[in-house]
Amino acid sequence: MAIVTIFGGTFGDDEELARNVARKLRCPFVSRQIFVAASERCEVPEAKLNDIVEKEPHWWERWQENPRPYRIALQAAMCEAALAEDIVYQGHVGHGLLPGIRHVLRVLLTAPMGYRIEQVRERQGLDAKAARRYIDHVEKARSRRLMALFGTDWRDPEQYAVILNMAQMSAVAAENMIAHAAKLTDYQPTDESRQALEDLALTANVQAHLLTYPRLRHVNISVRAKQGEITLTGILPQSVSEYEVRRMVEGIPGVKNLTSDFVSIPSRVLRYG
Amino acid sequence: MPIITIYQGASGVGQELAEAVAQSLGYRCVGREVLVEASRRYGIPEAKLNEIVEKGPHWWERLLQDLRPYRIALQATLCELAQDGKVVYHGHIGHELLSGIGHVLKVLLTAPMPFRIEQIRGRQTLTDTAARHYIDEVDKARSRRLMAMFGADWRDPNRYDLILNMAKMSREGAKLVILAAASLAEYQPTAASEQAFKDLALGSRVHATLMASSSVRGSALDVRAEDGHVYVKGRVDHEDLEDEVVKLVKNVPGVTRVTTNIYSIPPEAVLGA
Repeated sequence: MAIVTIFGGTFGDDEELARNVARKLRCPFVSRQIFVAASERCEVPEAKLNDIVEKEPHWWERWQENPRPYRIALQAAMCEAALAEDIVYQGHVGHGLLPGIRHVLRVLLTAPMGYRIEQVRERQGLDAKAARRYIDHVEKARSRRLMALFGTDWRDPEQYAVILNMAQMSAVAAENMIAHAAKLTDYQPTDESRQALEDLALTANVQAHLLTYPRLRHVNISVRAKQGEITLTGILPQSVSEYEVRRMVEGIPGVKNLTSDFVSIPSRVLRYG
Repeated sequence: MPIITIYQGASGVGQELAEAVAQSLGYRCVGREVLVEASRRYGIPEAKLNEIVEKGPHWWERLLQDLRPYRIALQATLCELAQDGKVVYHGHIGHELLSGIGHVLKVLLTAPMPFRIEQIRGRQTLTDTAARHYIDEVDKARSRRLMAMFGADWRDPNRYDLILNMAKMSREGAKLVILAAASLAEYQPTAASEQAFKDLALGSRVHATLMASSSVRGSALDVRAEDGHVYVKGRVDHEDLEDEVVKLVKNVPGVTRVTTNIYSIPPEAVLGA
């Protein structure tokens, strides 16, 4: 069975729909749990992590903050959930967190502006103009955040396998369509795609572990995992020894073999440029 | 079952997929025939029609040319070919030609750039850069044309019911998803949608007939049909043409009544102003 990610996009009511898809496919529905698990990993309050993904950053925040640690934490959490069993994920980060995994069915729901405005007006009792402004605002903020996290525009149709226009079909019909697509042979896991997911999960797990080490938080170490074989490359500041890093990574479950190729720069050079 | 339009966008697999869908449903598969028929019936050179739909206009053409006659000829022809409802249309702009009809399932196929580059290179021996360039050109030209004809961007996901990413699923998978969508209750013909289709068919047939007549061609007319009753309004070049219009409209099979709201301004007056 496939792993399904559902993103409401410009269509608001996607949670109920995703829950029903999960029920039809008899697999767990996952949404907030990813955030909870990720916030535990990167030791950031869940509310803050949610803000990071959802809300417009202050202009100065955009300079200050590197979203990479958050992406890694989310990715590690998502991989863990997807590895354990097939899931139906609903939310705005799912489609970007499992890149290159063949048995992930990425679904985007869209709806034209007019439809959206009606929806928002109903829920929040706004007039048409205010509703439009509200939608614009939310979408712009979300686009910027997701762009910062994944480097792609969530509206780019090429990231998804299936896009459904919710103005043209009922929620029940969309649920049936998604459940149907999830059963296609195209999205059944193969040994290869399972292995790819395991590799991705291990990569994310190692990266997330390295982030919990305060002195490594802002050091960019690239991690590659292939069937338990880990390759680490990057530039280490003098304050961190290769030995320390290796010790940390070796202790992670699933790591069978570790190769590292670090370049060290004397901290004096780093400090004075 | 609905009429299905599959727009291949730039995925290059529209025809094969349409044929497979048509075969499973016992439908006819229609593509270029619409262009051929439209040119035969309404006296527009096929090459010209093809060029208009496929290629980008010269900048000066955009100023000079009214694209409406071509659109209407195509619309009238497609409506006639799709009269029995058992049609998969895989030519250009099907989704726009039959817009507003409930029992039309509008599908867009997408594919990311690398996938398309591979495809183009398979068909024509081009370098990577040349292929990318070619795709960009084709896309841009197509967008301009469709923008000029319908005032809408073909890449707008809200104009379709279903968007499938051909890089993320096999042709067989795409076929199964389209078949599942076609069997949804949303897309089954109802009395109202059948009537809307008949009105669109008659209206566009009348309109195309008027446009094809050498005497009326230069007029700016709007045509609407309601259950055999045809309303024509707009401007003709001189008064005598109104009778000519009524005569032409009455000759179209299916027309039971004609109501006109026509005024005339001689071209001299327009030029003089």
